[in-house]
Amino acid sequence: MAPDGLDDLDQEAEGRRQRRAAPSRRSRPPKSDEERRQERERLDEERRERERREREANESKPEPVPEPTPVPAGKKRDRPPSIPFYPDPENEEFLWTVAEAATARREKIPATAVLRLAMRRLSQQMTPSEIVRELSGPVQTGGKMGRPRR
Amino acid sequence: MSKSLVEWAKGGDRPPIVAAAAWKGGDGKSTLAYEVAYQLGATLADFDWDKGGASGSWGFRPELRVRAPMLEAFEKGKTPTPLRGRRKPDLIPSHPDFGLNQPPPDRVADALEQWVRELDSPLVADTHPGGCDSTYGVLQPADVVLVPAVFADKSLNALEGMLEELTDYPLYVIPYMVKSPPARMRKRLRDMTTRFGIPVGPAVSYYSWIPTRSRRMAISSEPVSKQAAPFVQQIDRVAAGVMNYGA
Ligand SMILES: Nc1ncnc2c1ncn2[C@@H]1O[C@H](COP(=O)(O)OP(=O)(O)OP(=O)(O)O)[C@@H](O)[C@H]1O
Ligand SMILES: [Mg+2]
Repeated sequence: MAPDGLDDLDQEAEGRRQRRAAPSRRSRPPKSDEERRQERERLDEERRERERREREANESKPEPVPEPTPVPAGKKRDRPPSIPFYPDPENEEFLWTVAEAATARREKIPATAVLRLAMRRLSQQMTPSEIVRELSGPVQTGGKMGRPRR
Repeated sequence: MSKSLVEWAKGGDRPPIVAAAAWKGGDGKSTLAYEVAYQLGATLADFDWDKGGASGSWGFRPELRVRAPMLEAFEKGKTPTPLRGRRKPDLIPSHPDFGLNQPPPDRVADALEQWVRELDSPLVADTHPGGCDSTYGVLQPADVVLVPAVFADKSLNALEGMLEELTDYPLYVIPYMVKSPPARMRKRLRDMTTRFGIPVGPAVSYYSWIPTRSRRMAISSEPVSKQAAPFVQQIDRVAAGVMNYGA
């Protein structure tokens, strides 16, 4: 069988083991603590410099974002991923008939899909301000829902 | 599977389907799927509805979109039109509601078959961690299933359960996020893949810059940064392994 990723890893580990076991091939005298400290600092400095350059390179050519809808700065961008829906009896009845029709065709159409379709159609037929006008006024007059306000 | 994907690509009856799956979360499915999809010129279909998946990395934000391609595809039985972007794979994005509206496995499997035929391009499907309806559905028609194997006890435990359950699937174990694993763990992975007869692909190392990366294009898209070059080389090998799987 051809060597796979695990064989490679075994080999790497073996290489590490041998390097650890063998004394340094270089005949230089061992470094003093001070020399080692200096070298560490130099390496750290090099790494920081490298990272800084990379960061700058990344920042100077930001990726073009193909998505529409630029969001005004400072606004919180996350919206809730789902919104509860409280159907009135009529809605419920209608959703039920849709579900029935779907079942007849051996399909499953979730209510959320019906709502998305409804929203799509509504957005084609009415402007937001028309919707507001239509709905404003006594929407919930029953007063049976919710905690009484003080 | 008797034919390699290369052969499929040359006049097979449909383009190949590749899945990325793992029974444990966070082991690298989405990153692998994203990069391999880009490398293969495949469409990436995201079957994970959680935030932080491949659609998010791509830059898709369901809350800013009117359409939910994945949901609509199943509602209407139509092949979704993938979104396109520069330096990233074409995407069939997921939707937060997909988790609750997962079709049964057979329908997902049929849909994938239909999609690759109609899109006429290979398809890489990312999945939700663990065995759920959509994941099982994606696995059915897959020609190769990429399974990241992370050298950590919990990951290997989950992997063992997965290999046991899915022995008859075309799994392809990729040692992933590797940083000098101890001999004991290498042996454990070797033993379990041998026991279930699952091939192991090339390894991909752990890179500390990946988790904090905020750019959305594929890491392996040209021009590849110097920093990313070793990762891209490893991903290339994985992609080649996928293409030759079963050859
Ligand atoms: N080679 C790598 N080296 C280091 N970090 C990585 C590597 N690949 C992926 N990561 C990081 O690991 C985390 C999990 O990766 P990813 O999202 O791909 O996993 P997942 O299996 O899809 O997770 P989930 O189960 O949540 O869908 C992410 O933060 C990702 O950036
Ligand atoms: Mg994921």
